[in-house]
Amino acid sequence: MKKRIALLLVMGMCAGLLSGCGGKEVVEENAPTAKEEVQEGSEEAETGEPGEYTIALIPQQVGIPYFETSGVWGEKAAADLGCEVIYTGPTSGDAASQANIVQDMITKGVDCVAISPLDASAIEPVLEQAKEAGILVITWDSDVNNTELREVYVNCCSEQVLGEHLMERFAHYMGEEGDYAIITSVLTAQNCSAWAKYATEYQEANYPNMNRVAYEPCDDDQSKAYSITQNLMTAYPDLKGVLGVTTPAPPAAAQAVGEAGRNGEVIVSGVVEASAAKAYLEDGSMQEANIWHPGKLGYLAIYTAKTILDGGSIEDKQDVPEVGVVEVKDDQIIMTELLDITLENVDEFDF
Amino acid sequence: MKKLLERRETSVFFILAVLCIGLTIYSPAFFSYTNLKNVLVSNTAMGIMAAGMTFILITAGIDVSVASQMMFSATWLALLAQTPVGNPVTLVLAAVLIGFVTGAINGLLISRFDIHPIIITLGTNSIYRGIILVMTNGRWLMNLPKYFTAFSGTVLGIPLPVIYALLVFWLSAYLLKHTYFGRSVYAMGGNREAARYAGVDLKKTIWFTYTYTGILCGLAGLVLDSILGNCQPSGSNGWEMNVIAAAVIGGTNILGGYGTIGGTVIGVLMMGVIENGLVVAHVPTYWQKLVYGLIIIVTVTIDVLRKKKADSGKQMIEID
Amino acid sequence: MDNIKRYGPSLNGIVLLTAFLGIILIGTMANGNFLTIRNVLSIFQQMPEMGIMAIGLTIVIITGGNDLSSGTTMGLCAVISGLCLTSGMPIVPALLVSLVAAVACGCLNAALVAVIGIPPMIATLGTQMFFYGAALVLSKGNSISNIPREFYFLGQDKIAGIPLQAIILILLTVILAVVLKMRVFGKHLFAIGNNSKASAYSGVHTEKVLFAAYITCSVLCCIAGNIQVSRVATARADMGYSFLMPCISAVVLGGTSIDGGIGGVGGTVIGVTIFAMISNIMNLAGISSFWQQLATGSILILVVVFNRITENRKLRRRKVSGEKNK
Repeated sequence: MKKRIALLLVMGMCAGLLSGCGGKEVVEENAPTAKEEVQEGSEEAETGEPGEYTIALIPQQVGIPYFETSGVWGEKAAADLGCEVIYTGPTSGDAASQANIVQDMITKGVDCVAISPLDASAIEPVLEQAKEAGILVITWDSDVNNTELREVYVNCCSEQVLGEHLMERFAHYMGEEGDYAIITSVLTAQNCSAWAKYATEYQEANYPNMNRVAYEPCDDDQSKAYSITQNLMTAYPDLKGVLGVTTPAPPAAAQAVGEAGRNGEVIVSGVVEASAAKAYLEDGSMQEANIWHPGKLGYLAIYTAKTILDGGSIEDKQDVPEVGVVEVKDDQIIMTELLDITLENVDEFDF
Repeated sequence: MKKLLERRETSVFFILAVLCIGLTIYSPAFFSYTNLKNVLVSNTAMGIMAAGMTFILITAGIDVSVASQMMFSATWLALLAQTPVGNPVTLVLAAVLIGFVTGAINGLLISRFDIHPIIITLGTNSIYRGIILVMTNGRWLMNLPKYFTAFSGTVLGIPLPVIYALLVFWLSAYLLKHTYFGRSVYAMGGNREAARYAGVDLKKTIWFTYTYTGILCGLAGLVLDSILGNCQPSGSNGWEMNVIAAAVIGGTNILGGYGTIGGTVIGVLMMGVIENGLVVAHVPTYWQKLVYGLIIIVTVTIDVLRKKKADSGKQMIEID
Repeated sequence: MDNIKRYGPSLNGIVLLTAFLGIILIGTMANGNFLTIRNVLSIFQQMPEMGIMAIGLTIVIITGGNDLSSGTTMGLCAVISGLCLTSGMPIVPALLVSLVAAVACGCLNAALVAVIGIPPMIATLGTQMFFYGAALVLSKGNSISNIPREFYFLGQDKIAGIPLQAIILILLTVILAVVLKMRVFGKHLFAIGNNSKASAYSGVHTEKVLFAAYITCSVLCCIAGNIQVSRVATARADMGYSFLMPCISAVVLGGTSIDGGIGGVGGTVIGVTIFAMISNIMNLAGISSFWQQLATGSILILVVVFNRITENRKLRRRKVSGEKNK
């Protein structure tokens, strides 16, 4: 009986699909018709006056403090500018889930999709759909491969610049020699892998006396990063430094180093927020954090979106409120404030 | 002695011993005080949870929400520590209370409504995790006070977490072997209908196993926060599978009826040693997961084959 | 020793149908765009990957087993497919290679479960890590882009307006439903799920059937993986990794007993659709994904508990009226 009902339902679904598709050659047509549908949808979705845009701010993953800060500041920007921001993203690092979210945002009829893609190519088909639907597409924090799919890329610096800067600062503390290890997020995380790659290449080119002995993923779990650091110190007794390219890693590594009583003997630095780094900078188990202000980046993304939707553009050397002076290079809006957070200046930061 | 050799746990113990010896030969640093201490301390939280999981597995149940329960407790404790009422005593009480609540909810839903544990715990897994993520927005709870981190200090060279784990193991083993509750657990796992006829209160027993596990998860959250010095609400994802694996590798029958705390301890140590060993033995990064999976498959295969061989000489009489 | 099957069907078809329609109702009220063709097609583009994996899982769960490696099998097949396609191999051979890999995975699982006798949950837990590790080794953690455009058809094309993957899902569901219902093989699956020892004594070739079941599951995961690769034009080792728990939830929500012996693929598809709709409704409403997690878990428990309550009432009525239990 159950199975019959279930089978009936499945057939019903098919029937529904077929009947729905009977008159729906519309869907297969290109931009104008789709745009109409979207605009219809967006009229239903929007509650405000004309000019109040709905912007979807999509991080790589929710639940990560870095992105949560961007989200909070993005919402602040929306409030300041009179827009509506929808901040949502995948709960796990699944690229297809992020694509699904964008697809739903297209259906919802948002005016702009501002996305930090988990995977530079997996998001492209759905961004194409967004573009065809007349939605403004901008990327922030991380870019896509095919840059035609997005209007601008809001970032602080390229992956290469960050990777090299990380290594430069790291090597400074390492005395440009010794064994070191890199702890990354998951092995499939694109930006972390890129930072690690550029950092390693920079080291190989400029600091021949340094030697990378290990490259371990901590799956964005600080207890794992903690164990890995301990294991690394055992496995490589000459280990002189740990570079964390994902935000859970440096604090956890510092905790492990501190507990082993090796503050300063094993250098810890990397990408981590000021608030997470503070305690470890203070007790000397972490030397430095290199990161940009994720909140300001989120604010800038929304500000840029609103500006472009209004028909304008961001100028080079423009002073964006709350963010500061930004540079514009071709189609990239660059925040330029890559911060080096040390014990001296950690209290200046609010993230 | 022969009986000891015939026990299921022995084969896993031997594999563990072989692994340890092999690792020590490859990298003498493995057998150092520091490394062994690290392995033990890192796996305390998991060990505490695995003790509770043993009870559940023996009753032929399962609980995939243990990691979420632990993080639920960890998050609330970290929040509590930021209030004026935070002190060691309230922390422990809160840990027990929170764990009690989360475990009891599982136990209630499973026993009262007679629904398969995997469904309920799949649901509560999402719910508990969802609650703490919504509450904190994924924000880390940093800078836990000194009295909190003091829980993971060292006394006479022995890390406190290890002592907690040993206490939990001792208590669990005692409960299993020497109390009516423990006997009910085994009876239920062996043959549920027979247990019912023998007067075992099934509902109560089930409720107790999940509640006990919940309390242990609560305490595990306390230990975890204390070791790391902060709380990451989105952390420890997927740990439930490791806990189940540890218990099963240690000889607990996932279909119910058999399990020992001692075996579970060996299982937990096994998982810990493998994880530690992969790094210590310089296994290339991309190969680590593959090697891990392979070791588990091989260990369980050996275990099952040994059991089959041991049972082949026996005649199975089923009384259903 | 087989325990007497404790838990009956976890869901009644009527309760499932009510939940399904209820979600649709909520969706329509929450957002006017929910029942638009665009959105419905969107859902039917997104869910078949999970749906196909879930119906494969259903087959295995009906035998009383489990396949925790289904998610990582999907990832492994995706990576193999991606590597073959980007190395210039034409589509059909690439798909064949990925299929062969899936069959190998299924054989490994079945060998561990049926031949050696390891409980399926722990066996597939080990193979889950093993396959993920293999995918990582092959891909070095990199995502494989530049999938040739000719391959896009699988995940992005529509036939008569219906996404191709939805058609594949429906076809596979129908085929499996038929297999489960009519063929001898289907009956054997249920028999093993009910009592594998008794089935063996009754002449069921337990090993052969289990091999078929696990291989079917792996092959379906392979298909799902290839569809995803085609849809997002990229292959990643972690594809499908996060699908496992939702799939198991969908399978039990759909009425298959986790102990085996009872169940069906139709219910599974409904279950997957329910979860996909919840996700879609929340995205359309702009609700954060955390709430989605909460919602999925709550709905699972609510529906199952509600079903149990109504079942108990039915049973009590039967007892009172003197009817025998079914």
